[in-house]
Amino acid sequence: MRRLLHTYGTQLVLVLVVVSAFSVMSPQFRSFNNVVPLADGVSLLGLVALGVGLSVLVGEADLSVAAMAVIGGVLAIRLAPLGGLPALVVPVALACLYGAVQGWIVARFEVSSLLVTLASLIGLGGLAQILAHQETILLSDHDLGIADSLSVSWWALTPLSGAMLVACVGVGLLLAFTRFGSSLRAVGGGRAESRAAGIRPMPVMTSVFALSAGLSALAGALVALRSGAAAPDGYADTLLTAFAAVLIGGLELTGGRGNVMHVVLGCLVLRLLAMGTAMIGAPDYVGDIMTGTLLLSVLVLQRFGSALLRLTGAGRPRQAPLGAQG
Amino acid sequence: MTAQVDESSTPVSAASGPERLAALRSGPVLLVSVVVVALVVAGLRTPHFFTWDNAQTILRAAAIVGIAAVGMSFVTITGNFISLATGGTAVLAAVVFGLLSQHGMPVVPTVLCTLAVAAVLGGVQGVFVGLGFNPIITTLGAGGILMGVASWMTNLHSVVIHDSAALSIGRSAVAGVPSATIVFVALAVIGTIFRLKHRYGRLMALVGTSKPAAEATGLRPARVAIVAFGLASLCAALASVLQTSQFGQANTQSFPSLTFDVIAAVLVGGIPVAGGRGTPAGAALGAVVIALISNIMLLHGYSFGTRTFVQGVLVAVAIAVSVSALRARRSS
Repeated sequence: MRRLLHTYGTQLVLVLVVVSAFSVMSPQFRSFNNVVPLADGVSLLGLVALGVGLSVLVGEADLSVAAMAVIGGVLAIRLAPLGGLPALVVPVALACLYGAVQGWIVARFEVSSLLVTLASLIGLGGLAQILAHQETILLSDHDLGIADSLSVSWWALTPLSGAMLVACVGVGLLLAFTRFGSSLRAVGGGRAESRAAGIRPMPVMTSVFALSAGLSALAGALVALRSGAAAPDGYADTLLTAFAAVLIGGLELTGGRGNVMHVVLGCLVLRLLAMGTAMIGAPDYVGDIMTGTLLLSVLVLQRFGSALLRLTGAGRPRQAPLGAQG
Repeated sequence: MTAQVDESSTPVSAASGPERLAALRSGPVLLVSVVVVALVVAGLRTPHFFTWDNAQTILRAAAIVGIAAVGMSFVTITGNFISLATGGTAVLAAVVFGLLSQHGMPVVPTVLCTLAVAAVLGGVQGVFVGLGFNPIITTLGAGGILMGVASWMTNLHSVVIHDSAALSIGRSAVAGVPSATIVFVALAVIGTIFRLKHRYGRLMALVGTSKPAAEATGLRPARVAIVAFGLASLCAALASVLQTSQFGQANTQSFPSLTFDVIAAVLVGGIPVAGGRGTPAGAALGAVVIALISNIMLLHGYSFGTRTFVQGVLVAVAIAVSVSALRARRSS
């Protein structure tokens, strides 16, 4: 329990603060009816954030995720006449392939992933516009069955939140129990040290960027198929929100620290914040301002938090890198 | 004269022969060859390309992005990558400019206030970056906040400008050349002279090359980051004021692609992403190249999406060239 509090303390407190603040301000907020939309909202953000989280964990940053989600959605709608399954699988597979190439370039040429993925973000944004002919594209009438089949829900579980759950458990297991997981943390903790320890960064990078691209495309495809529409200029805020979620969740940009639960909690904080502001009748941009402010505050805390804790005598010395723990 | 320029564009390295050659081969040559190829293809195949009107259209299209890119070049040269807050800064500046003008403030103080607000906001981002925060994530967050604040100030409505003096800034022209173009060219020239000839401009490149070396000369990299981001923000606001004045209104949708356009201009302009080299003139040329290519594709009827895609490819090529030049320098 103590360890749990130590690892997730800040995030749990944030969730509690947001929930209690909005519960006081808006009676609606307390209603159980919010659980399903909340789970769904967390899932869309969560799949993208999970990918970003993996890239951050390995000490890089994948900026292409926003464009990847858009292109996943556009491709899914375009492929829908072939059936629901191909419309989901093909975009994800293509995205994984593209992501793998990105990861390979980052590892092979030791380029900053920020730059590689920035070029992708711009280029893929254009590609999405080309594929969608610059307009919001819709599912044709006789493919609407796909949208219906994705709109079912069992209690709080929808296909979207189900996908999120599977992805979280899968990535969580991968990180905790496999060689890949420990190599990933090692590469994130220290590139040079891990190479000295005999871990090759290439396979790790390739799979991390393939995963992050695939997860984002999956999120985009699922949302597009369920709503029956995809806009080539959608997801403008996704990049900011996904990075905010990952950092608020407690991952550090220097890599190596954190796990899936951190990402989930970060997404939960942001979704609760967005839902809460909507329910008290505040406009969307209030949520945006709060997201940006939270992101910068978290950066400040990361930078000065440990020093602050040491000053007040409350903190323990910084833990050893997580790879050593488990 | 040439020796002097060379020396300042590779400040620390003891500029041996092959190094200098590699440095020269990377940015400018790529740029010039792209321009030449584009011009030849365009000239041969595009009707109406070689007209005075079209030249003006290209320069006007390049001007807004170019002005912001000249400012951004200092961020990249000082080794701070790029800023993702350009669009947010421009939108906020447009809104501040519009609202102040609506409230009856005379045009000169309005412009000065707008620029000052932007410079301070950029400086604050520079403080964060100077403290060691990742510049891209910092400016991503800052951009979100600026955009949000602009939405809050306008309540998502357009701010329409009625003051004729405020409108004349962006609509006036000297000898047929629009004001934005004049500001663009002047800023590129002044910026480049400052970067190459002024002591502080050269030191900024030194920070990009090697922070320890810069510290050894008594320079504080953290302060240089404040100046660099302040300049980038100032120039973004200047570009925004010119466009807002020309269009006569400001809203949160005013600069949808400015951030990426500016980044593309800087990188295509041959400023290496690792910092330390390059000039504002390069970024300005980059903006012209992108405007040129967009113009040609537009005249040939290509869509906005295709143009964006080509821009992304150009950025990728520019990054590849600058990285391979860096590797060549390291290995030689």
